Amino acid sequence: MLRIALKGVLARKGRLLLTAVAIIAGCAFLSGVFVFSDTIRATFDRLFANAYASTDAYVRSSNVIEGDFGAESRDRLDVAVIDEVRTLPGVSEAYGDVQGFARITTADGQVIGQVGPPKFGGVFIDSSISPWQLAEGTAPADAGQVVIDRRSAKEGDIAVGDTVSVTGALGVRDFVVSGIATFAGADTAGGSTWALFDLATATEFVVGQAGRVDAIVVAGNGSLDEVALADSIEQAFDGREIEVLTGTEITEENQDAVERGLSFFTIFLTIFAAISLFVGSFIIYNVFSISAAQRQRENALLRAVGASRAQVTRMLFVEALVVGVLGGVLGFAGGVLLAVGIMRLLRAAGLGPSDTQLVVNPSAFVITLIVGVVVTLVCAIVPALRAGRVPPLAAMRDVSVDRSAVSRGRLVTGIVFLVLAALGVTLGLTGDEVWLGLGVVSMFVALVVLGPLVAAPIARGLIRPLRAVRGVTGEIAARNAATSPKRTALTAGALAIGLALLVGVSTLGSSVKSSIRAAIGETFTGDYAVSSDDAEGSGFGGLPVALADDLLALPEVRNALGLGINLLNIVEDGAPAAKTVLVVDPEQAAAIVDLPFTAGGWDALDADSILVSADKAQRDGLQVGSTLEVTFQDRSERTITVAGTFDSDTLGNLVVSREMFVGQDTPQFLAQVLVVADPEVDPVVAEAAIRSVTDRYPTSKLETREQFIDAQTAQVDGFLNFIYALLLMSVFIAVLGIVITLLLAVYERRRELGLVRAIGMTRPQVRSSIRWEAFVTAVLGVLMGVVLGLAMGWTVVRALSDQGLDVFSVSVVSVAIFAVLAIVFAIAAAWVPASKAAKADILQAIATT
Amino acid sequence: MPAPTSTTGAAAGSVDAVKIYGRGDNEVHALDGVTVAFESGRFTAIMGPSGSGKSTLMHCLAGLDSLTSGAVYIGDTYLAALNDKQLTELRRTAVGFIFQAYNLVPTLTALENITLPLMLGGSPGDQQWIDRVIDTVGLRDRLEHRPSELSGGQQQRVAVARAMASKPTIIFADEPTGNLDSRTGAEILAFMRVAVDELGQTIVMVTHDPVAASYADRVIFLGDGRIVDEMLEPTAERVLDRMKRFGE
Repeated sequence: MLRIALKGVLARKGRLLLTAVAIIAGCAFLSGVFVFSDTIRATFDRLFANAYASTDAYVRSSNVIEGDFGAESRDRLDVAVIDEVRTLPGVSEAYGDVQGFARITTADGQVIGQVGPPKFGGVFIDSSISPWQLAEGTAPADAGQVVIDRRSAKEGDIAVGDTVSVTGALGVRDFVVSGIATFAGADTAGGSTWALFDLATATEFVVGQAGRVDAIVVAGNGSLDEVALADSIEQAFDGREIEVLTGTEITEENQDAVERGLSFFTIFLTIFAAISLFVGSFIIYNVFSISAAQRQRENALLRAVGASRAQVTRMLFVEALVVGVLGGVLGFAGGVLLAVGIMRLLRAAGLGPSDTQLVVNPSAFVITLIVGVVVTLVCAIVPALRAGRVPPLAAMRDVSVDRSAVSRGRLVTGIVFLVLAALGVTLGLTGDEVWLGLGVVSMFVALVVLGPLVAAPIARGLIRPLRAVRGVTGEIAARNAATSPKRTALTAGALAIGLALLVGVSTLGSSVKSSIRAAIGETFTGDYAVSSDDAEGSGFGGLPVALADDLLALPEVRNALGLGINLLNIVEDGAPAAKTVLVVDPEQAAAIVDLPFTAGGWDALDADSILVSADKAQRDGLQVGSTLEVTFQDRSERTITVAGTFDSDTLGNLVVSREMFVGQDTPQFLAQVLVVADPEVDPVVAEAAIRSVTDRYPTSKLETREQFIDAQTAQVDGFLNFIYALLLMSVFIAVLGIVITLLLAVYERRRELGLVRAIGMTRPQVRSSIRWEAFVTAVLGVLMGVVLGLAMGWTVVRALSDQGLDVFSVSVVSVAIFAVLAIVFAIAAAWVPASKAAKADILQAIATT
Repeated sequence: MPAPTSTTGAAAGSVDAVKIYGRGDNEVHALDGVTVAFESGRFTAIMGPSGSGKSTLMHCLAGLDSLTSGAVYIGDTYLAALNDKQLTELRRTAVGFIFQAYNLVPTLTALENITLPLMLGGSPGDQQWIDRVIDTVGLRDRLEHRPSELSGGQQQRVAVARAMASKPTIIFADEPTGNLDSRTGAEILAFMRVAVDELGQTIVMVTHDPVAASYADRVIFLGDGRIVDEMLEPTAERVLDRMKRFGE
């Protein structure tokens, strides 16, 4: 029986490959994610292994406030500690290190790295223990010299002796390039740009805290192993806030941090790969069903000559197994190519690490193969069982195309799931959010179950308009689509899911944007916003506090409000927990921000008080006058009072006055400055005056209110585009599904096609009838997808309404674009089955065998 | 190409038609110089044993297949000069087909199947004529039915009606009764006879059934790709006798 099955598979190689295509695409996505993340992980592992190759011990402050989302604020060490470390037993060399933002610009004004890789500033450690070694020139000898990485030197055509200007957190300065360095033999570390200074310059210019270092890297003299060395250093600093890691530990810590970020990213991408596979499974199920129906006669013959039901069923499973293995293997190969392609693209765009070496783990292959085979086999279960149930007598009958009508049971099941969906969403929105899952899943199930019920009426509804537009070919197309409603609905269902996700995401994005607009519009009454220019991925510190003061000092400016972010340890339930607080100048805030207070107000906010959002106040049982215990980075403690509560999401949960941190050691930075110009002054003059100040702060970016709001929503757009790109694979597979189903239909209808050709249908008419059938399927998919997508989007937006998402908005343009594109793609893709149908050999088709 | 001898009054015909399949040793002469003319308003049957070339001749006459050499014409049109699009249009307007099986488009109603060639051409056709055809084959009460809802005989009647719908120059029928029982078959043949006698149609029918052939005005016998005999006013017995001689 196995031999018959395999022979059957081999006899239909074309169809085998066709079936496999849907699974190949999904598997390629999945394995592409694996290979890509494995490669990136290996690159960063190597990067950090190189960075700390000669480091035996790593000394840093143990005073750290850990905030939400892995944000942490670690204290720095005094440079004097370096000399203390040098004198310890077992220590051969010790150097201070800092890391911050630094952007290199050539004398011609060319910005190295453009809007791409991270741009670092640090210390050039002139020792063999450093991964940075000079390729040319010398180490920076004074505060006017810099060493740059060789990649940057190549990009900007910079030679030793040239002058470059470097932008640090605190300003722009010119430096003479004293040397060009390589990182562990490579042009740079992980594709980023590096400006390396002497220690004093780096602490003062790069991080803005002269005489303080992030950490001290230590090389041993060989008398102690790294664990013993780290222990002995730690003991020497017993009682002080200093911790010592071995070289292995600091390497692993960095690798783990990358791993954490990467695993989030990997899971995120894997979800989209799973969606593609899910969409693909519709296609595979459909192909197996059609295939089994078309082979009914053959299977019946096998039954008639003595094959058991189980044997016929097993035959289809063997075929599914072959398809699954083929799909898994080819998909994996496709995934490797995909990963290579993406890395090439990233490298060409100057993003991501440049020195990647492709990593293909056996586990990635095994997982892809298992997923491919399991998905295919699961899809084959129902068609295989159905194939086994064919009565031997069917061998005597004509090939019967599946024209089964839709049953009452289906209608009942569909309605049950619709009710479940409505119930789940209602319960989820009013009570426990767990119900939402049930609601959304039921929506999908209802779509799949009810699809065939709506497919026939919708397709039939299109008969009349299509006849009007395309004549009889259009009519035949719509009729054909209406004839096998289950098949049409499944094919359309695959497209509907892809489209529903696109529409759902676009609705969510559009609602987020509208909510942002509404929220900023309500609370931000300024004319201009000065933000930290994050375009180069600086992400360090922010804007100096002095910027807000300088702006306020301008006669053209009425108000300037600096918004700072800081971490504060607040004692909750007996234990201190780090909370992110917004730091403002209450006087300026009162003038600019129209905060809807439920109690208290700006004027009560001073060094020893805090404003709390109404939500948080309610959760923690706080009200005006309640007290909180807080701890600062310098370990000082204070009791503060709640000065007011407000009902808004724009400023976070906690707002404090900048006075609170006066006298604290932690550096203060602003994330943003909101500016209101004097209404008496000509706006052009005011803007020029403001720009004259912001120009002195190179990491700042001046935007008008409109530009600022647009920039905020543009971030959402960027993220949306990323998700759209990921969902594109699902839509691609769905369109592929239309092609495959039509190809099978063309094969099935080859007699019919021969007949209509014989009696006078021209080739263009045949092609057009197939294309319009694709059109009908796509329209059906679009209708179902848009309805489902809007329902999902609405549900999610409503569920997130307490997170500040209070506006439900549908981007009609996006939805229309998706719908039109899906239909156009489907019609274009139908070119393959259409030309196959047009090529149908009339004589062969009408030959009576 | 030799000049056609006489095409006057003929609805279709061939001149020295040769069709060769395969090459070298595998060469098969399906048609080996067939010259024949089918007069308008007559019912002609083509008979011959399997492999005699009768189907090939019909396919070439109808523009479904091309000749290796020689010529075929329908009305005043020589088919060799036409491209695929023109051939298709010719089939739509000037030729009617009745096949043995799979004659109808399953998704269309009986009426839509009948008028399909007209709809493909985008013309409504002659409504009076279509009504007459429908009444002739007795399908008035079945027009809205799908093929799956019709009996085999009714399906074949729809096919006959469709073949006549565009008032074609000639109708080709390929074993039109091959799938039917003898009573239903006789009914269809009677309709075809009426189509010729009362509606003035021209029919060429390929068959291997002497009874079917007896409905024709004229029988042409093919053997090994050549016309070997011809019979006017055939009866089933005479045709059967002639056919028996092929076996010798």
